[in-house]
Amino acid sequence: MRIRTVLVSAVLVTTAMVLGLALASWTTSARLNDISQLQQRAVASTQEVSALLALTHEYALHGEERAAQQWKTHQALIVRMLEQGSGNVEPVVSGALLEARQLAETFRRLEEVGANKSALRVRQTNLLFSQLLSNTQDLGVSVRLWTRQAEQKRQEAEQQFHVLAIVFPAAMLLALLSLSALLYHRVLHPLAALHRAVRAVAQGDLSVRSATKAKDEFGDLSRTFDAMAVDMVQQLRQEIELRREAEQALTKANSDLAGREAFLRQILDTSSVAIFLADTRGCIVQANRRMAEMFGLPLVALCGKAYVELLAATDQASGQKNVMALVDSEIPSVDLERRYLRADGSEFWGYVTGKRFVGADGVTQGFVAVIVDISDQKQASARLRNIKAIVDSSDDAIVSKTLDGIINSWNEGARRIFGYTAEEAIGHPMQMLIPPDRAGEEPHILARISRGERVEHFETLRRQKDGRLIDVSVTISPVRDESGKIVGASNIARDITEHKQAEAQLAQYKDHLERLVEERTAALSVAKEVAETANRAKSAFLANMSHELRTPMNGIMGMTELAMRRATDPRQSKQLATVGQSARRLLAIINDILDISKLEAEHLSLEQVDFKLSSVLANLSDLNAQPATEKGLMLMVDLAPALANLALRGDAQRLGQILINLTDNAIKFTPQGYITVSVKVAGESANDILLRFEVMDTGIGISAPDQRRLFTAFEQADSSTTRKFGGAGLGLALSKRLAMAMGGEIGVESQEGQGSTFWFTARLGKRPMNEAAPRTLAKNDQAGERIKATHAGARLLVAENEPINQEILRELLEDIGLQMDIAEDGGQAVEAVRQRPYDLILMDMHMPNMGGLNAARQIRNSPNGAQVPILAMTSSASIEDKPRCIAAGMNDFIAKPVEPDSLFATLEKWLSATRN
Amino acid sequence: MVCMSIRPPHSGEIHTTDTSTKQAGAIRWRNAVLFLSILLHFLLASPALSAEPLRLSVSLTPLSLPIYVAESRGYFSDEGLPLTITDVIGGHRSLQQVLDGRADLATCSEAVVMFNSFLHRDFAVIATFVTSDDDEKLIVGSKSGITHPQQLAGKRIGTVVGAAAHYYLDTMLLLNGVDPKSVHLQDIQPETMAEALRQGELDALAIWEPYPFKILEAVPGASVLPKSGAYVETFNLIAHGKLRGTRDGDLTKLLRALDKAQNFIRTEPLKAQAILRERLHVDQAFIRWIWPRNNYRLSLAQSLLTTLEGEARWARQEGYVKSERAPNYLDFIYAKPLANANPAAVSIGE
Repeated sequence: MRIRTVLVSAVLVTTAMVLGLALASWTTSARLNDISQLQQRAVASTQEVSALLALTHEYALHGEERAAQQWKTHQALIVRMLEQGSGNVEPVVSGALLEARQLAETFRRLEEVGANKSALRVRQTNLLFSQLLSNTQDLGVSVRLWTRQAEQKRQEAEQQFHVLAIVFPAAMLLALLSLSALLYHRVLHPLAALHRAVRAVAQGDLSVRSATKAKDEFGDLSRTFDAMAVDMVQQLRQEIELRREAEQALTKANSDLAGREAFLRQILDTSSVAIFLADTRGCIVQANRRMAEMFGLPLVALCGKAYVELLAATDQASGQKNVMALVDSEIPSVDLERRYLRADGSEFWGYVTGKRFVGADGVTQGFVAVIVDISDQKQASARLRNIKAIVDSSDDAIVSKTLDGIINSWNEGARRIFGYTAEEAIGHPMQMLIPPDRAGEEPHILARISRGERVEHFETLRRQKDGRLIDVSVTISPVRDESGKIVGASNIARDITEHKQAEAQLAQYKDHLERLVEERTAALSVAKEVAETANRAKSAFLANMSHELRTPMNGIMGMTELAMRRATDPRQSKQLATVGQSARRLLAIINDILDISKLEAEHLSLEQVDFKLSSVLANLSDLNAQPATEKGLMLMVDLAPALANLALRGDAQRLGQILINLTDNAIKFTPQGYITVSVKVAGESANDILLRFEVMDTGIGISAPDQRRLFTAFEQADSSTTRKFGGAGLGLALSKRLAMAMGGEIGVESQEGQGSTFWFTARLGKRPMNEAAPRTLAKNDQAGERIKATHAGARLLVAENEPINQEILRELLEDIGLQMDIAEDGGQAVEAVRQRPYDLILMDMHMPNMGGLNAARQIRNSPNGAQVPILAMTSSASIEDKPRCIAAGMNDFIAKPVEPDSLFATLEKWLSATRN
Repeated sequence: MVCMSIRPPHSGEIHTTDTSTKQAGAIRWRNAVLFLSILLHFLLASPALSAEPLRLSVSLTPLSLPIYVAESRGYFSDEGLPLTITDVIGGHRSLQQVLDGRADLATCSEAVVMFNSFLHRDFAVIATFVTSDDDEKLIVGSKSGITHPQQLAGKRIGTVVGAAAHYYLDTMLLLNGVDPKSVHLQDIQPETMAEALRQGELDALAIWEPYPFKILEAVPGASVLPKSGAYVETFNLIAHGKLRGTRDGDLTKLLRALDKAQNFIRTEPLKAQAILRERLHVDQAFIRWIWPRNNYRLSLAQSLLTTLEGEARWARQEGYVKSERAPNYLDFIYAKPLANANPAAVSIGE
């Protein structure tokens, strides 16, 4: 906006404001005046109402006409005042006006009532007076309220007036301040800015602008000034631009020159050859970095040095001569191999090329030369000569060829072996050395070489110049160029014709020897087979023998037992007891033989049953107490109570067997004194325990050499002892094997005449204490009686082919009231079961035609045989038979020879089970 | 011929804003609380327990508008005043509730105050909150043939004896030259008036709004006789004597709330009318009928004493009360709470 417009507007606004305020002030003052008048009227009305109230009372008391007249005058005055006041349309005033008019009506009724002579006059007057009084009082309240409101209005108007009194000067002040601000902002401030700009331009700063955007008069002035400044700046810029272009052209020319110089310097410095400039005296003026490196001298030291001083002493004279000739233009240039001297005194070969250096004025200024270090090439060619000499002196043919098989080198050795000279061979194909039947070898070899493979010590035939064939061993390797690419092959061939002949002879000897060895091995193999067959035959023989021996033993023992049961004569009884004892001893020997044979064949299995040591040792005492006592020996058992009742798992029978063997021996070899059996703990883990058993005697003792042979089968310490003390010598061997089978060892400590201590260890399983104790059968000796009482008349089938055994069983079974049928073999047993049902079957394992296992299987498949208990009878009632019996459907076992009590107990168990 | 005894009106209670009375469970609970309150009162006699809600019994009439407005606008709760409001028909029943101890505060006309001032002394007017010169009406049935008050002699006229309507009837009769003793006056409650008029059991009725409006609508041919005299009825807030000096603070709060309500009525008449319509279940025609003559202004004015004394003289003269002299009505005015709430409203000198 233009300053002129702003100024005019400001003046107009201020004037309007002043006028407006003056008008407001005047209006307020006038209103205040009105309100004051109204208030005066309200106050006057209040006074009038009070007077009216007094006149009402006066009239009520005396009924004077004067009072009535005055009352009416005052009432009319009040109505008038209220009418004037009602111009304000105040509800309170209009209400009061109604009240005032109503008073006149009531007063009229009162006058009326007073005038007539009605009987109701007093009651009516009372009522009307009461109402008039009350209404007049209400009018008083209304008028007072009016007065209060008028007072409030007056106060409000006064307040308004006071506000105006403050607002008016404030507005004036504001107008003044606004004008001042306007003057500063729109005039003084832009003027100062323009002044600053002008001064800056005058001082040479052409970038300064007043930068006023205002659209007023100052804005115009500023813009004109800024346009002028822009023109000046533009002119100056053009001049500066011209000057700068000239400067740039000069700089570029200088920089090109420097670039070229640097380029040349770079070439000199990066050159791999030594370059130098020498003056006419032969002194070096300038040299490059390579030259300094070549001679091991700093550049500074090199400059000023005479060229010939760099030459080795031997070459200096000829060098000086050449320099002179060159400078004097006798020769145009020099190309020579020279020996040079480094700063450290070492020499090297260099190839020098020199040329005269003529200045721009045509005067010779010296010469420029280039030296190349050729020491490496010199050394390489020396090495090559050396290698050639080696190759030539080799007895082997050393030949090289291209990948096409064309020979390209040929040494002296090749000439000697193949007969061709180098001239005859080089350039010809390798194929000419290969006999026609081996023509395929060469392409094959070349193919392998092409793949980078080596062929080593390849033995083949090659043809000499005269056509004879020779044996050669060839090693062929790929030949690579500098980049590693295969370019050919080297053949090294050795004549091995003589070596081959020697080898053929050796092979003949070897073949002969091998034939001899084979013949011998075959003979040995036959011998071994014979020996093994013999051994097997021995084992089978032993097993059969023991079986065959046991069968009659069954008869003897069974019959003896029967005889004893019936014998009444004590002497006869004692004789029969001796027979029985002898039979049992014989049976024990037989059993030992059988065990040994099984142990050797590794067929013996150990049982795993729960037991306690107390029972094992009690059994030992029972068996050996009598023989010991009879010899007057004392047999003591030392067993800690804790160990006695320790719950163990293992083969109690075999453990007892070892102890019995050792104790038997002790009794046997102790003429007097005592025998102590003791047990100790040798080791213990969570699951098992290692026990050490010792049998100590006060006997004859054993010599050290005899001790070594003690545990070998069929040996006794002294063969004479056999004759004196009896015994087959099997006990200790068997004990050793059993102890080892139980994870233990066996041994003896003894001195001749001092007694012996036999010991062994055995590893046994530990059983938790709360596990059920081993089941014990009911007392056996009454089993027969119980069978007689409860199972009399039960029918059994006995499958047994031995008549003696048949008889023994018949006697025993009939004795306890059982009936029995006999089957001679398995087939008969199966047939018998098919004919009728049986309460129980006793089945021998070894029978002709059909064995016990087969028979049991067939019986189990027949209608009568599905449930019947089948008890196996076997002379080898060993545990290895048990799984086979169970698999065949049998229920239990009875060991032969049959012990009556054991037989009866087992029978009772199964007969009762069937019945239940 | 005239029923001379003032008997307590039967309850006529309409409803209470405490809606829980409708539920037996809630009643049991309230009884339990009441019992505990009484027990604790005896045990501790704590003054804190006196701050129970004030029970205000309100006559169901357009004159009670300031109370409805104050309640509807929440002025009572703004003042922190605990208050229970019960509606009844007629100021006579309202005051009776206070006298029976069922309410602490009542609204009624000065005529009811005057009649009861001869029987009881334990209450006081604490403010006049409205005046009207047209609230009471005299209605005649069409069958009676009455067209002017002078024809009322010997007629059967029903009104609420002991209320403002009764005073208005006598004023009309006397000023029109009819001895009130010459008419068959029947004490009848407002609820049954319309039916009595329709059945022809009565010839005329004197009653306050809104009953005249409802009767004119309900009874065909009924008409209002033109008024005579200058009776200006006041409607007042009455407090039981026990509140005097003990609950002055609460009474001041109550009057402050009513002061706000009368300002609201003056400045927002349409909204105030809406509140009235909703509260009395009436339409705008009724509002137009009554509105111009009701002057809602809180006051305690000398004219109240004059009116009470005038009415007392009338009551003794006409034989409605048997008493040698009227009481000193200053004893029935308690100005302190209003003087606290709005000093300018009090113009009674003690």
